[in-house]
Amino acid sequence: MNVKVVYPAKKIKHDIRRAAIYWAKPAFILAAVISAIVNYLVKGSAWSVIVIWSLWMIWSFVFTPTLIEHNRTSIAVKSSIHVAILVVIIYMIYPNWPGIEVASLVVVGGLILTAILFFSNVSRQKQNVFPLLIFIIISIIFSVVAFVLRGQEPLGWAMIVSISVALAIFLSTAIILRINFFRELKKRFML
Amino acid sequence: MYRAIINIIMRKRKVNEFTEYLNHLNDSDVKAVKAFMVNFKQHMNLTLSEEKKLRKDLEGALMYYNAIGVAVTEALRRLDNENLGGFYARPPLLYYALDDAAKIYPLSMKHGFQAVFRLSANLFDEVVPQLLQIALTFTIKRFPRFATTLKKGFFWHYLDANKQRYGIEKEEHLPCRPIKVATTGSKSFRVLYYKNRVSVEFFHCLTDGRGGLVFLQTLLDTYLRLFGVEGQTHPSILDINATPLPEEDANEFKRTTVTKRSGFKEKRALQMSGKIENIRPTQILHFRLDATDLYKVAKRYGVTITAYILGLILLASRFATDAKDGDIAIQVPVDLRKYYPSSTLANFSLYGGIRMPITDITTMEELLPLVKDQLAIVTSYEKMSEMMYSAHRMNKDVRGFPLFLKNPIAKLAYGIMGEAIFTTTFSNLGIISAPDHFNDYIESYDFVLGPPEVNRAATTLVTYNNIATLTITKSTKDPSFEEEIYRLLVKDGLAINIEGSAVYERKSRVSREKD
Repeated sequence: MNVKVVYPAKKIKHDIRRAAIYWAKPAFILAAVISAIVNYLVKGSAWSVIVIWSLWMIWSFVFTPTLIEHNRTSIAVKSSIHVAILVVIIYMIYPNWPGIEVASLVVVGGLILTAILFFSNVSRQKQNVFPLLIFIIISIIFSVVAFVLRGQEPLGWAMIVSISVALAIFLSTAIILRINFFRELKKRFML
Repeated sequence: MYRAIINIIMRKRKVNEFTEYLNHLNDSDVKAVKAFMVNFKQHMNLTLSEEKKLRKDLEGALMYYNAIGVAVTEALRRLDNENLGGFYARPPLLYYALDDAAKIYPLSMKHGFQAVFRLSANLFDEVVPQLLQIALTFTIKRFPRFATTLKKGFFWHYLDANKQRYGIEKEEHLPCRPIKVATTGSKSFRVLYYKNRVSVEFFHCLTDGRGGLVFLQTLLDTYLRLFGVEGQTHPSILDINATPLPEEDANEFKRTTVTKRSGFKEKRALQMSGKIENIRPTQILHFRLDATDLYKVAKRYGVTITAYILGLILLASRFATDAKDGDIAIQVPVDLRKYYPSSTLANFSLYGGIRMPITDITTMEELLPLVKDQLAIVTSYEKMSEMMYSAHRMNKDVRGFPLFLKNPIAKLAYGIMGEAIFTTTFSNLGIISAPDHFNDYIESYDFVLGPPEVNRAATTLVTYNNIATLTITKSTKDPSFEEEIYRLLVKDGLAINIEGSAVYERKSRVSREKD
């Protein structure tokens, strides 16, 4: 079979990410399993949960980033939520510090960062408003639940700040995007 | 740093080139060009950077016309800004739900794997990129569904209008490599050119082969018009200055009145032997055959061309595997427009499956009657209607679940019911219907399926100008499959002209070769 070559082959390279996924996957699974086993054997607090969640964070951010809607707004939202969850997990395992309040402050920081990234280029980023809205809703729910559970002790203001910032960003987004805001919601909730 | 300086110098040089071009024109031509550019500005409401790119494209086209001796007035007539319509001047407000067949594609994609297919036209002359770019700029507005970016909704993915310059690319990479759809404003298709070939690669969630073909044909027609070729209208080509019709975006799966479901689940099929390579496709092969001769051979066996090729694939698959028992199964996509006439540009195709125990695959004479009977059943109106209903119903049943729940379930289901239940795919796009004047400019068409993830090969057939092009996309270096097909075709007395790629390898001799 003689083939007349009619295709160029100038930039042929390995899919580095796919190779990395292939090699790293067993290593990550092994690390998670070993940490769980060691944790079980040495008894004590469930620190392996922190390890596993951290491994998951690295895996999902470095090796398998989202394939659809991987933009600066969604990256900021995803990172903030993951870090907040990590803080809550640490707090649940080692409860002698104001972990929930710190998680609230992480959420506040995340909200501010996401809002800056979003509003710095609204005309282009308005297509990416949904992750921001989801983050606002999650942060309000999280802060309300935390506030109800924790009351004013020891740093109740952190949750109030979180709710206030979330509402402020929500209102700013609605005012700036106006009709586009509702149009965006309609698209995103299309059945 | 060095590259940035070079870029600045090159950009400046290009500006100067256009200034030089203007300088050598007479006053009336300069006035006409300047008026043209003012008029162009009125058609724009894009970001400044996008507008600049489009302006540069027009300047490039004007200079090209000048270089080949086309008068300025004629060049401006061909590049008429009216062809831009209001597309670039209006905000992106439209959005499109994915059709019932498309919904699985974004859910099943992985890093390094995406359902991509390519349609190409091989011209008699080398492609002129300046004019192809303008042709795309004019054509895309007629296909608003394609001028979109893929987004995540709460329940489903959808296509969101995206106004920007849609650029052509010089073909340099692997064919059908995944299209990056993750970033803001990313496209779900790409237009490529290489020597005398124009190709369009589509992410399958956007359209199917038939819809893609309408886009390619319209793009080619616009391209030829820029050369001053005025052909007659043809049903396979859309008028780029007409208003897009709602039925072109219709999800036609709702149309069936059948209410019987047809299962998608099948048992696993045998796979051809051979290691699946990291660089995929490993090779693209086009077997160019005389369509009349191919038809005669199929008739000699008393079957259609599709059934004949399916017979070849079954025999070649058997030859390419070491397995002794199990089924060889071929996925055969069916264009549902033949049963439900439609002008939709969304996906409107499903598949039938030809399945044969490996022990029953012996000779063409014994095999083809069985293939013929199976093909008639699995691609029948009744069967396809049942599958249409199933696809529509399945999506309806799960529509209330949030996307983050559907995602893992769909991935799991695709793992069970996806490629593993087939050995290979054979998609026959049929005879390309094109206006008569295309015969003078287009030699042949190619239809390439993206590299499979589990299967070792995928096969297509498309016919134009009495050239039937059988294309094989390989995921393994093992040449048994294509060599056996070649041997069987030769045995049946068919003359074959083979074109394709070299075996793709990193840092191979071929990849270092200059074009």
